[in-house]
Amino acid sequence: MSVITIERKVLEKNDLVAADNRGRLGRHGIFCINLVSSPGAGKTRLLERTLESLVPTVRVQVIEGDVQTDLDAQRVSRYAVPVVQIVTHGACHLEAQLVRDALDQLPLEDADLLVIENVGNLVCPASFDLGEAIKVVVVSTTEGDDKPLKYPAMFRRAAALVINKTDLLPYVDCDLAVLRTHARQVNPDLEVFETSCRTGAGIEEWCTWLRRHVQNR
Amino acid sequence: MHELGIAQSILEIAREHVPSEDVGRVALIRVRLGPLCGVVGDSLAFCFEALVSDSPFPGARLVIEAVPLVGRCLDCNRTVESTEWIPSCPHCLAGRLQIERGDDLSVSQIELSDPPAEAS
Repeated sequence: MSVITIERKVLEKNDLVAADNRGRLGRHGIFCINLVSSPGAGKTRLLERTLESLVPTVRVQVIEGDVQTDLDAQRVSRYAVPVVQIVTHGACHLEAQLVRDALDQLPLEDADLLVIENVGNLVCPASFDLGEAIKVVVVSTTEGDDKPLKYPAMFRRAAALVINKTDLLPYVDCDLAVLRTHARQVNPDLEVFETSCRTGAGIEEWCTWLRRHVQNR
Repeated sequence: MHELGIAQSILEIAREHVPSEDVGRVALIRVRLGPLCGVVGDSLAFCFEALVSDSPFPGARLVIEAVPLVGRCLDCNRTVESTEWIPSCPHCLAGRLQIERGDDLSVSQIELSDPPAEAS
């Protein structure tokens, strides 16, 4: 029996392409966020609210990832921002190569902020670096307050948490204080926002934070 | 369910590290998995089984080594080690953890069976 000892990260190829994407975005001076959540938490609505606030002061471009359809790209294109839809045809997450191909289709010289909306899934997208500056995880109050404990890998890798659908709090069993505690337990550095995309509550705080990151990039 | 792609990557990495003449001797591939890597060991083993029969080394087995999560409690300052994800410090039962390691997802070793004895 002979042994070959290697230490190779399984996702090395993805990480190399992600590093390449990161370098490319850096050269264009673009701040990039990877927006993740379970399906239906409100990523696209949050993105629409964000576009309402930031455009045109901040030049935003968008990459949409979905298993099927370009419905999200259609929604985003109403805000007159460049958008590329990636359809994964069944795959549960975006990979760096898909983002690289999408970057080729965007006028990067005219962007300050790139938002990548990942496939709705709190598990798989955690493992795949896309080249973003930060991950932002969205949870909705209807999902309960235990999500951070159930999906720690994702919350651990995120820089910010947006708790969405706060307008529904009177009707659901979700304790915001408990949700915050659970989130900080997994990731003590997590920045936490509370929003209702329906009423607009909290959107300005989130956008102010994001705008500051874009300015300091 | 991204374990299929992960299993494929493991086979590709193994292929890159084994000289062509030794491909038929690959007996075992060792991988390291941390509790926070986002990959489920059982699913990975299942996907590996599904792919390995059509790989250059159909007889290879996958051995998954679970490596522990290592961290420090921000409240009692003690070091924490666990092979499973834990949400809070097991010493003081309350503290928040600063996790330093636990994302491991790597191929560590490939074992080759002995070549057939030369005919004398």
